[in-house]
Amino acid sequence: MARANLLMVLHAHLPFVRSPEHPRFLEENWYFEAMTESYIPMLQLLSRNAEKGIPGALNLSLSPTLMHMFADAMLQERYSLHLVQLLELADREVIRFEGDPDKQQLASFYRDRLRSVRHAWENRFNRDILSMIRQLRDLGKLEVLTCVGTHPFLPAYQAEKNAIRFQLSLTVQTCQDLLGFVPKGVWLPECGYFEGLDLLVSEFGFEYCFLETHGVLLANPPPRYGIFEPIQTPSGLLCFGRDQASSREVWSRKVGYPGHPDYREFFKDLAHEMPKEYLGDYFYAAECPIETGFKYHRITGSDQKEIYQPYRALQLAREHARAFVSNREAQVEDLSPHMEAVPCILAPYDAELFGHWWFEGPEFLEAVFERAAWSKSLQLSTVGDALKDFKADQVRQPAFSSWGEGGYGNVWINPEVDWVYPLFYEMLGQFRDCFRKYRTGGFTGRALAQMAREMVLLQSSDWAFMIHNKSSESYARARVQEHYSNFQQLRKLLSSGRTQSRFLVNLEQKHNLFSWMGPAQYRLLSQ
Amino acid sequence: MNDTKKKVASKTVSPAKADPKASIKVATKAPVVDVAKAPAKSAAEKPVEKVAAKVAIKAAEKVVPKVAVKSSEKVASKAGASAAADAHSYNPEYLVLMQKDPNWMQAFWNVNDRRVQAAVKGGGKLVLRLYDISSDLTVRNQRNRTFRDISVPADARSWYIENSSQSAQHTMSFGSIGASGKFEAIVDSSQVVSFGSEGQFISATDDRFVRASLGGVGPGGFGSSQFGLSSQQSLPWTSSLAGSSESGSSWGFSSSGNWNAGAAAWQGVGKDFFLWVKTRLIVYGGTRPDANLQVRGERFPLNPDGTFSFEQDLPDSNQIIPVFATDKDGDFPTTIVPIVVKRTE
Repeated sequence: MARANLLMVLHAHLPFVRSPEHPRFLEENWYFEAMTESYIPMLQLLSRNAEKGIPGALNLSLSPTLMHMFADAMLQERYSLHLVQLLELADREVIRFEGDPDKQQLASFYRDRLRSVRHAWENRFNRDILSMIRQLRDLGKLEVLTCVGTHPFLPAYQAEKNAIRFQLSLTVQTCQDLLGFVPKGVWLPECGYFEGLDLLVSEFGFEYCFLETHGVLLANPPPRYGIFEPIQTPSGLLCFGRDQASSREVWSRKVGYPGHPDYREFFKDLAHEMPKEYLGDYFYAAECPIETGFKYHRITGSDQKEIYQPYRALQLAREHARAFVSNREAQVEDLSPHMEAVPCILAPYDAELFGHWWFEGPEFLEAVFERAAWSKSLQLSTVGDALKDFKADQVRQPAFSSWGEGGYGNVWINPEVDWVYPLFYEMLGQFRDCFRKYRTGGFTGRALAQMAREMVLLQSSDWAFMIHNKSSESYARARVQEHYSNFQQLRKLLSSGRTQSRFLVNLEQKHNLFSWMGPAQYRLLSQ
Repeated sequence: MNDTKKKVASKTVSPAKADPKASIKVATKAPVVDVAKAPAKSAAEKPVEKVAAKVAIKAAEKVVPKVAVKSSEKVASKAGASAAADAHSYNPEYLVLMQKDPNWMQAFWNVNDRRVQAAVKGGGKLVLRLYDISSDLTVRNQRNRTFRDISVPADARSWYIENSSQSAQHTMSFGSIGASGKFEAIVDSSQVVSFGSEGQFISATDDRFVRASLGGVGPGGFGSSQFGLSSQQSLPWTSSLAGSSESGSSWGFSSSGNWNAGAAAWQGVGKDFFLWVKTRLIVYGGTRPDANLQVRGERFPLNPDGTFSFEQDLPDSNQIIPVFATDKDGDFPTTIVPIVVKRTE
């Protein structure tokens, strides 16, 4: 019997943060942290798998905002400098812990890892993450998926279908421009789905997407095999539903692996333990310390945190990987006899969970590959492979759903954030007015293009998420206001009749994603 | 993005901007809900309706203020006084209806104040008219449209609206009802499909695939009726759903099950013969009494002496039973995976 398909889907996304006007910007560090702890280690492990001949592949969704950040020369340069700064700090840490062998070993461990990351970044990847991703795709270790535009929560824009089409068109163009191909699969931001979205997604050539469990289970008519095979929507889009068991084992605060006392404690960073005089200006933004990634404690299970022991934690990650794969095998063995189709298990996670949040996550993933390699009942498949022999028995309409708290729109549509959406609709009406009034070429065309960029940047679901969860809330509010304000200033610029503007040039340099934005793209918004 | 991302740096280099919500005023009037052609609710539904109505008022009070207008003004003023003036030189009108969850939709709108004043002149009442056009897909033929009116105060720009229980296709108009009772629309929304609150329930929890999809792991196996959700139980999704960050589901299993061992009923003792053979699997083991044990990914309780056991039906199948344990401090992680192959000839 054919082995079941275990689909490990990692969704890589960060909001677009780029501040050329500041030599060091606190929120740019999110990108640097994710690079050092998640993205580069993940590509390293896939490279090792390719070298060792270990079978199996990951499915990696790349959001267009992240792809633009990967390809951005300024951020590449800044990341290289960031690694130099981290290595200098590592050297100081090794010296600081002379006489304390446990902590010195840990500091050396971080220094060795950083050296490896820097070597990969500078010498193997040549600072080009997207090129490395393409290579791993060619080697069969990755299926590349994408996500929608600036990551808007699409159910919030159900009333304005062309705003959704516009975001999808930016996705397609970004993929053609930066990847050289358009993936068949698309990650819907926050797994947000509403009835009818499939038609829009299919219009742009995407063939499959991923939904929260109940998006599939509550489909009309109900699915044959729960989430263990994809369902086909009226537009022909194939939808995979999230498996709760594999999610719970990794995500759950109560029983998830990352909460084990031996794993590294996330919240105790050197930045909060040493003074500015020691850390240096680079690790400070004004009077606010910036995370370094040097963390010396394990979760422990109490407030008295004990010293982190990396090699013990790495061994634990391997055991957890064994348990994880065995649990999936148990699922398969239980369900297979009752299915006419080959079971398919969707295990989706944020890519940044592995390495950034769960430090040992990449080792866990690597061990999952090794353990699954000799499984008789399942394999780590690409979505494309899983669909090779799939035939839908009938058409089903998935249900309104998201993977956020509560399962619907509550995280992104609530009294704390519902002031954001009227701003967008006001901007949309004003954009249409400007589109009618002004030429789409030359200076006014550039201003219109930048207005369109500011509109879509305002739509990122990240801002509402941060406000709702009260994390980086002031930054999220400032970003919404910044994009609105930029848009209004551009509108004023258009009405002034001027043909030059330093403001526009600066904005084009700062929010420089979708550089090809022009009437071919934003005409969609005008309708 | 999911919940674990909440930790990202909590401070910003950028100066904190004014909080748009700071300008929120609270409406003093509770919304009045008029129902026209709405299906009559059964007596059994009444208590729910009462609670829901209370919630509606509370939610509406929170959002009724001029959220959009106020925040816009504030932001625009940051861009400079002249930009602010320009921002209002073209003020697009719209009405947007969006779905929040199976119980609530949100409407927000922007309409020229003069039009609103003209509409209420002479005693006109402002309403949001919510149409159900599910059975009127030709749109031009509006005879089959049912609707309900929701009264809103003149300074409201946003309103939460309780969903009907059935999924439906909707449009909405913002307008006024004059003394003659005639409705005059000021602005219309696009079509929106709502997901009715009834849709969030599922009754087929004896379906092995539904249970397994929800992570119904237990020593009785995914297909066992002894663990997990009891059959025929209706559960709202929020009770068992894992968010992107948290699988709060705790309905896993207990080691003291309600055994109903494949007892095929046999009746009648006439000149007849029968034979049935079934198998059960007993899994047992032991560890330190204070160890942490997981069976098939779920925590499993130990007996006081550190032993554990469970049994389950053993149909023809391959049974894989991963058992994972650590000591009380999380040390000595150990995985043992019994694999049992059962076949019948």
